[in-house]
Amino acid sequence: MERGLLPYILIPLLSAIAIPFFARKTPRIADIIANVTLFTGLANLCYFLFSPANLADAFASMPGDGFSTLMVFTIYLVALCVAFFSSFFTVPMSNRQAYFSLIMISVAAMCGVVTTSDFFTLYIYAEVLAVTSFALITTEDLPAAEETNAPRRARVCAGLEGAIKYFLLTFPASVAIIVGLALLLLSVGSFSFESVMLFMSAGTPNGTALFAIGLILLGFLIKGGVVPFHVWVPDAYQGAFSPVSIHLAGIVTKVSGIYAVIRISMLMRFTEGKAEMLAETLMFLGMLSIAVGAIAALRQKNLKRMLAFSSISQLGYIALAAGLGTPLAIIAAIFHLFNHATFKTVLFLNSASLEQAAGTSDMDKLGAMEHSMPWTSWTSVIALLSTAGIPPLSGFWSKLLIIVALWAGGAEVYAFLALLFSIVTLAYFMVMQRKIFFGKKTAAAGTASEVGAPMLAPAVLMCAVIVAVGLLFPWFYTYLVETIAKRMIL
Amino acid sequence: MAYVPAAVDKLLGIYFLARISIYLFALNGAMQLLLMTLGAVTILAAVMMAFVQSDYKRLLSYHAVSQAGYMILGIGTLNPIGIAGGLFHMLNNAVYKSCLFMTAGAVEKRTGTGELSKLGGLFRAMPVTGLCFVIAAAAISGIAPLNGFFSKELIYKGTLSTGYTVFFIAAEIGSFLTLASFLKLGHAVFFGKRPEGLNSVKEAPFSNLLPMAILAAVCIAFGFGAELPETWLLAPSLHALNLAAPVLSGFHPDELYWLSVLIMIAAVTNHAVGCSLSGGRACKASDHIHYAPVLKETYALAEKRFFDPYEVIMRMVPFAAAVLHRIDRALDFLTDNLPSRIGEAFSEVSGRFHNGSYPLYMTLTIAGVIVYIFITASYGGLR
Repeated sequence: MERGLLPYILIPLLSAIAIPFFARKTPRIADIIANVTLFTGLANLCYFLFSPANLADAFASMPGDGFSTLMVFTIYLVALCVAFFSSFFTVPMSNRQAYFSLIMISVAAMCGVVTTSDFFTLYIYAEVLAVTSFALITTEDLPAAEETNAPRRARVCAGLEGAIKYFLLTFPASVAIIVGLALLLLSVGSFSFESVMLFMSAGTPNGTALFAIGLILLGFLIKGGVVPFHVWVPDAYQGAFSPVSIHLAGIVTKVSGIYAVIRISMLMRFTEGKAEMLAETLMFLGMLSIAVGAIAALRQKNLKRMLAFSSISQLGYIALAAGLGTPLAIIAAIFHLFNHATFKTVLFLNSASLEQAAGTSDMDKLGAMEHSMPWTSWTSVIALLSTAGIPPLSGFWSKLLIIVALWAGGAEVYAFLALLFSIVTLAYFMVMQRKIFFGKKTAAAGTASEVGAPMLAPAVLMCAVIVAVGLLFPWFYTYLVETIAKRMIL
Repeated sequence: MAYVPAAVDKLLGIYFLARISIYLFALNGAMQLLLMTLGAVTILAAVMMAFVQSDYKRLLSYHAVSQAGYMILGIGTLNPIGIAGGLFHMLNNAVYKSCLFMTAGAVEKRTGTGELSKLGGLFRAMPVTGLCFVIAAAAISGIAPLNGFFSKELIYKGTLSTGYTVFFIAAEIGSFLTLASFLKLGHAVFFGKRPEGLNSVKEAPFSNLLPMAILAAVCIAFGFGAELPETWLLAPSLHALNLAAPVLSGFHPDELYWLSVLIMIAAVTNHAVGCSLSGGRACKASDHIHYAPVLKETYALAEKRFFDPYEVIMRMVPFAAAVLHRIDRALDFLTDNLPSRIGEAFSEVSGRFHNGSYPLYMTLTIAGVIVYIFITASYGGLR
């Protein structure tokens, strides 16, 4: 456990407990408590990361684990966007206090996941996160007065269906992790990352330990939604209440799944060939995710569903780089994880805005929205270009690092395929942009107007982060090298 | 702005040629011969075309081409003197060719035309422009105390020392025709009878005169003081190219000088003959060569642009375009239609697969888990 980061777990937990008491009479107080907590946390983290001392000596003296700190920062950033957006989201929700409480618990659980230093605690936090996500997906919106009952029931059912699928299809993950933990305890004698690392560097590891780690890895791959365990992702994202799908796609699935995959890749020293088969499997599954996600995204009709497949594809890049395991690949994977959180949040924020303004996220029913919603259109352009890896946006650098790392690590075929599918990424996003924002006006688009400034603010902030990280890449790279590559891998 | 491509841009090409000749390629006899042939052919072909032109700027443009031939010839000799000459000629060419294009611009601005047949007798009206023209024209023709003479002299020396006299002769013929064509041009524009319409022509404005006067002054300075650019500019560059700098400057009344005088006399004679044959009209002074037996047909072909690679290629374009169109369609099919059809087919399948059916999804997940466990377990020690 990173002790310095403990308050970031405890404070959201306290406000989660406080919300139902203070907001009992006026639900709006729930918004305020959540936003203030997250904003204060983010401000603290900004001070911690960007303090003059850190900037002066290029993070060499920054205490702690750079990966955890970066992840906590990302969690707070995305969660603040989600909480701020949901405060102004006009579609009313059934239980405001519960919703914000759950968001805060999930923030606490995510911070727990990324700051812990042993597998058992990691598992506990991941389960807490899974339960809160399950509850969040079932959050339903209240029917508008004039709305007939049928579509509402369909939507509620979609939320419930997504939640149940999420719960049942990720349940094998828990089984795999528990069995893996038991085997790990038998063969290594401890759950902590440090002992696993020592065990791996001591000599040729025995098969049981590798199998145990393999099972744990399997569990987190299922939770992260890597092909072929991805099937719950589209249904959960599509069915969930819009702000919830921002939260899920933006950060929750990354932290609950792919974060641990990167952690395991760091511990296992894949480059030294000690767990070759595991590394090969991980890389293969990563590539499969990239391909299946991108190809399936090409023909989706619903925006949120398409974005879900795009998430699967982007997670594939991270898994692919994590499977390679060289220091460059690891920092590239971490960088891509951060970037993915930023641009996927923007895209899901925009899909929620569209849903509010035009009443649908069906791409065939939308068209020419750029005239009525210019800000949404432009932020989505920036985010999609970053996803597709167009310089100088942040996504370009992380994808470039991944491909360079693959090439340098001797996986030329994977490097080539990764490059190829980044073109497919651009293709499906172009289709999306053209169908929704350009082209001919449709009936649904006719009456829509831009959402208010408070709802645009999170997307604009995230776009600013995308552009800033892209332009300040050398600085970011120094951070990754100094605090992650030098301290934890080499 | 015509002087920018004619005089300045070309420097880059020649500069690059000099660089790669010295650094990149092991220059042997064949390469030397190729470069020198290229230079000599460029000189002759371009100067022949320049000689018969009837437009001020067009004539200058062909000369720009032929001067580049001298530079290539000089660099192609591959001995220090020749390369020094090529580089020095490059410098000089930029100076006097810019000056000449400026006079062309001034004349065109004041008279509204560049047609030689419509110009004449402008020296009285535009004395400074005329003087600058005379200096620059003398320099480009290689008349003794001006800069062109010294750089050409170096190129001749370099050419002679390679032993290929034929290139030397070609270069001298080029010089002869250069001088002849500038006599024609100067005579047609600045001397002779002034046409009726041009009586009120005034001198070009000061802003036009100043740069051309400076350039003309440089022509003189680099000529009389050829030592200056040669010790300051050329010797260091040769040194940087790892070549020993020979003695470059100084006026030597040797055979080459007398040869240049001979050529001068020949050119003047030729001009006088041409003028008298065409009835005193300077712009037709080249007609006796233009319509000479063999040359007439050649020029006719040249005017139909049979020697112009652009035109020759353009003639083949329709056929080539048709073929390329076919190839393009085939490639389009390979790069656009085929992948998108395959992609569509795959996403069709995957769309049909992701149908939301819970049993199917669960089966897939469990099957994935089992396969994964088999792979990792067979690698681990649980066999």
